[in-house]
Amino acid sequence: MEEPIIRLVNVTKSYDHGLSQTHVLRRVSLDVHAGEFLSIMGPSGSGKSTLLQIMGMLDEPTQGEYFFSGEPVHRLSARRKTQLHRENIGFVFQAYHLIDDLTVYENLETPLLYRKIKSSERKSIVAEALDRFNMVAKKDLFPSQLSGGQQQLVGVARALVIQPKVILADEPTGNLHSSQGDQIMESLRTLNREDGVTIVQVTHNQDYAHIGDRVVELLDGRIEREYRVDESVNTE
Amino acid sequence: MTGHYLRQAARLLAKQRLHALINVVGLATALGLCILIAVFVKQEHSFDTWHQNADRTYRVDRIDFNPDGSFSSQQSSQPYNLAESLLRDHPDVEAAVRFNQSEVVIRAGGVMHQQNVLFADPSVLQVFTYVPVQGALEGAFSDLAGVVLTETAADRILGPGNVVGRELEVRFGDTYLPAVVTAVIEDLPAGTSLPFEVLMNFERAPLVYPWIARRIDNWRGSSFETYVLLREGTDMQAATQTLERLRTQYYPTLAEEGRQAGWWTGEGEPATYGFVSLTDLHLQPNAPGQFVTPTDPKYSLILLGIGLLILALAAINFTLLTLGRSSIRAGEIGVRKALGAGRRDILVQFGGESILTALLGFVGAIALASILMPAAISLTGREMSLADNLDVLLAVGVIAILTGILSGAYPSVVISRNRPSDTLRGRLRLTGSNTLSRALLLTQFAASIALVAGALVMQAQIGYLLSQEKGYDDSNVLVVETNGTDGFELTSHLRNSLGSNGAVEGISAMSLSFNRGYSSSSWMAAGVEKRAYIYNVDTELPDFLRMELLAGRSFEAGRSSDSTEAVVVNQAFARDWGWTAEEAVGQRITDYDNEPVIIGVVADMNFRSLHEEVQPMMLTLNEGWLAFALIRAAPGRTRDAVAALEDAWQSFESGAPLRYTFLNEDVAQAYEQDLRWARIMGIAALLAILVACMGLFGLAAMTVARRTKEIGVRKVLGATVGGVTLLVSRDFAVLVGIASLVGVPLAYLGLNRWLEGFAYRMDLGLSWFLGSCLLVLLIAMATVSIHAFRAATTDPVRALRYE
Amino acid sequence: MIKTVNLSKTYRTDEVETTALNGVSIHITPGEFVSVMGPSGCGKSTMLNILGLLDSPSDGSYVFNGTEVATLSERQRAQLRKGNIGFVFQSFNLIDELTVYENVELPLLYLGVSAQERKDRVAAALERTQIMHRKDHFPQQLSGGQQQRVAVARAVVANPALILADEPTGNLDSTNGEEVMKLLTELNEAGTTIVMVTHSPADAEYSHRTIHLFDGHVVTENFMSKTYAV
Repeated sequence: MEEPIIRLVNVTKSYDHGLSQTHVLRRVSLDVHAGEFLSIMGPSGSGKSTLLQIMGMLDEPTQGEYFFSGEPVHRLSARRKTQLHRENIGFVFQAYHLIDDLTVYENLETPLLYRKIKSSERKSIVAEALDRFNMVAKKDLFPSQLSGGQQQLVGVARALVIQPKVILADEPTGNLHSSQGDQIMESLRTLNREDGVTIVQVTHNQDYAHIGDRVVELLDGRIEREYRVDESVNTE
Repeated sequence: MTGHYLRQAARLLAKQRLHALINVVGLATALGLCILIAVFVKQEHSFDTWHQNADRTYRVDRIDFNPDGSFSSQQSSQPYNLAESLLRDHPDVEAAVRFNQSEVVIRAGGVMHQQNVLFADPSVLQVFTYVPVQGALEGAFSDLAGVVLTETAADRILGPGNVVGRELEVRFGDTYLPAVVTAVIEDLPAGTSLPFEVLMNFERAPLVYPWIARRIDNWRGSSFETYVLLREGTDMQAATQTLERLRTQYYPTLAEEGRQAGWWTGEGEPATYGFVSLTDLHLQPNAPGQFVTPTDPKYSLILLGIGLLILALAAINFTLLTLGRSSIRAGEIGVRKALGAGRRDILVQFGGESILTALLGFVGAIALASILMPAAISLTGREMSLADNLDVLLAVGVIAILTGILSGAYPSVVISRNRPSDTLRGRLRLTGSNTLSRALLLTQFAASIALVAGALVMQAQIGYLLSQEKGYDDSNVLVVETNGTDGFELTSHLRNSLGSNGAVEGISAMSLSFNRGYSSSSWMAAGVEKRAYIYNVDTELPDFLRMELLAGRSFEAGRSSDSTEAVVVNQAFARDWGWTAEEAVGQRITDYDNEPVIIGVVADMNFRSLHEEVQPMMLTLNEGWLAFALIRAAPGRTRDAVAALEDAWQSFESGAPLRYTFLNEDVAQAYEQDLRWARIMGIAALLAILVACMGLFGLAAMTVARRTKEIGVRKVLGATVGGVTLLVSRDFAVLVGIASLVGVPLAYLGLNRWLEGFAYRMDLGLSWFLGSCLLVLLIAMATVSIHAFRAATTDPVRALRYE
Repeated sequence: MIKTVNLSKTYRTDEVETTALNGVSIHITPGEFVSVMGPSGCGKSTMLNILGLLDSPSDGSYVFNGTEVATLSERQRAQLRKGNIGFVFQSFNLIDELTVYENVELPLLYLGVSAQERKDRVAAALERTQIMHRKDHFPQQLSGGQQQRVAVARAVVANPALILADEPTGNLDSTNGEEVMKLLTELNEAGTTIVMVTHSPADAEYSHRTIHLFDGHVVTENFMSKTYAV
């Protein structure tokens, strides 16, 4: 079997308080293979977001190992991590996290700037993304002028422009109404099926979780249950 | 990438207008102040350096000692003979120049010009550097009639065009002597200790003032600043020793005379000569020259200190404000990191924004400095210009960029260091910045309180001095310059033409108006010699100035003996010799030439500044020395009196300009320096408060941002708007309270010391300091409450939604 | 105790209007323990804020304890809130600069309760939530579960008739979460009305009744047979 794109081995994350320690993740081991669509579920506080942020190299585990495409992330320098992250990972957030002072166009352009992509090339990539998500008419608007669903579409488009190997989505539909949420999930599914992008999403929504291939359920920082979607459909 | 950042920075500036404005204005204020101070200080320190021989040019000063050998005083004016004697006897002296300055009347094409003329030995053109525009400097004074003009003077007196060879008439006494323009030079730079517009041969000075002739061969008098050019490679130590030896040689009996008169009880010589470098003259407050008042170098230091302090405060405020904003922008930073920004990218972005702000501040600073330049010129009394100081602008520009880099660096580093997962949740760790900013604010407020107290007390003290009983009435008194005409004749003429004018209450004359020069001499009485100030007056003066006669009588017009052997003295004079007012009357005193009798004693009067005790003074009748006519206008009719005076003057000296001042202005002149410093202190206090409040504004914003959640929780739990406002403001009030504990003692010590320079002091009551503290507290609370109120009225739901 | 009719809430930003609540009518009687469930973004938190008088509805009627409160001003709402409603938040919302004791004391200070009485009541609340031994610690020194117990103590110290809990176990692990739920159950049994927003079906089982919200309106209400068995 080919090497997993994300491999977590015994990852633990804990915070020190004055008198006590809080364990957010306890010895989590998890492989995600290229082209997979993985959903992480679990009650609030079970460590889902932390797990996602560690995968995205936005946070570091207290203990344990993390291999990204075989590279030991836990041993890499900050510079190499930034580079690895830049080249491979796109993020979608629950709260969209668009930059308020930038237009839609500029928001889509920002990740490309950090990758030192030529101006002409940037233009064509952004134009393509705008076109794909039917947002050409809105390219000069600021985020505050968009509805939540539209903002999240920009968020997804922004994650996509760098043609990442992996998109990490933290409750991407969390702030949306159902119809908007459906649209976002649809776009993620298309990215996964047609573009072959690996997707890891955190969600509370069972239906949305089942759009993916596999579900991991966390409880108190541990993997409580793990199942393939087709299997679960069979068993339930 | 740069364009992307610039675009966002520009939008941020536009969006956070207030924040940007505070930063830019704060920096512009501080940098603008720095530009002005730097220009001033640079000029103060480059006085006279433009002379090519500046490094070998010295003024010869006489240094007097106390009997115990300590330094007593330094004097810049020397006897008539010194220059030529040194040139003859001192092997290191290559050239020597005497100077004397006079107001004379110059007539050209029938128009009279009152003109300040510098008389100098011809060697002045060899020792000092002037740039000829017309004619040649060489041989300019080979003819006694030669005159050198600056371009400005040439233009004013003779009009434009080539004026070399043109004739002028210079009034010497009653007659006009012809003079010829031999050269025109560029106007002198502002930084000169020897300013002039008209330069004439020193040999002509005795013609203007006959007394000069009497001082020839006299080593006791001293009226002429004497400059020497020393040979290249002169050993200064040896040259100074030679100079000291020559002092004793020229005037060997000085110590002996002192012993006989009782003022010298020491072992060695009571005085010596010393060289003062030309380039040091301006910052040598011990020996004020005759031409330009030198500046105490500590003023430059104080100014520089104030400038740097305010710049430092503005820079650190800038840091705090940037930091405060970054906590709000924490989310954006997290997103940028998630999008692939490295630490460097964040540093570049935020550092760049800081530098951009600093540059905007610098542009504002240049504008501000240009706007404030006229005010600075009038405040310092120095001619300055930005155009002449591009190097200063460049230096301040570099400082601005450095400020931007340094101020931006700290927040950038702090921000970029934070882990993206934390910043994404809006949690930003700004470790230590709170203590730092509090300490900083404390310093700012302590400084503000001290400066405010300083400004208030200085103003009050000057007001106190001016409101002191002067011992005479200086209201509505016009002081008319005789402009070289005969004072007695002028006064008589004015009496004839104005005597019956209802707008004029009285007319008198004196040799010197108050604070417009002094004359003093030594008097011997009852075997004791002491110095007293002398004013030559006419018989009317004591009555005219409404002096209070304590004993004896005033001058009487009819008595001929009054004009030869009568003096009226003040109480301080009597006190100095140990007499009561009554005892003083009838005493005979002597200055070895005259032996007048004291006919009356008037109450003490403040004819000098009240920095010192009222000094002994005597009034003597001398109609030949009246240089100022005095006219008292009837109350409310000053304009009529001036108009009548103008007519009377024109019928007396047609064509010559009338020049007059008001006596109370002359009196206030004594406090000009003090007033100047009070004003500078006031401006410094204002700026310090401004900058401190900007910092406070930023810190309050930060505090409120940091406590948004807490405030939300408190409101949910039932806190009222007033309660929350109080909660946020209270901390800052406490801060100002602590600052007052630091600032008040500092101000008290400083002001007490400053007041020691005055013989007459106001009461340094606690209320001044309480008032300053309250004022600063009030301003601070007004600043904070803007934020506090906004925080208190925030919707608690919104505050808690930040989670 | 709580009766809403056609409660609606819309937010406007620049050009976009978002409807968070859309015609919600609910009725809660004194002594009830009600859960509100629904996916993220369904309007749960908005409803809780309105019920807690922290926010006002855009439209509709809300009668709290017999008073129509939908049209009250912020000041009037704040007045009514004091002492009547206690809050428990997902993220605890304790004030970091205050000790456990001081945090719990805060609502009483704002109510103007005398020092002696404050002391007694804070002590009682801390005993009740079993956090007395940590009373001089600061929130940062406590575990999440302990912090939430402090938050519950603070919510009950003024003896409010109603406690509103917004995902009280959201930041806790299951053991701590269970303890907090037990605590809330005890409070309810002692007579306090509780409305709780939760994602967790397990937590919802502690309550008498669950209201399901979806896209801003009530979709179902079901009663917990389990609770009735108790």
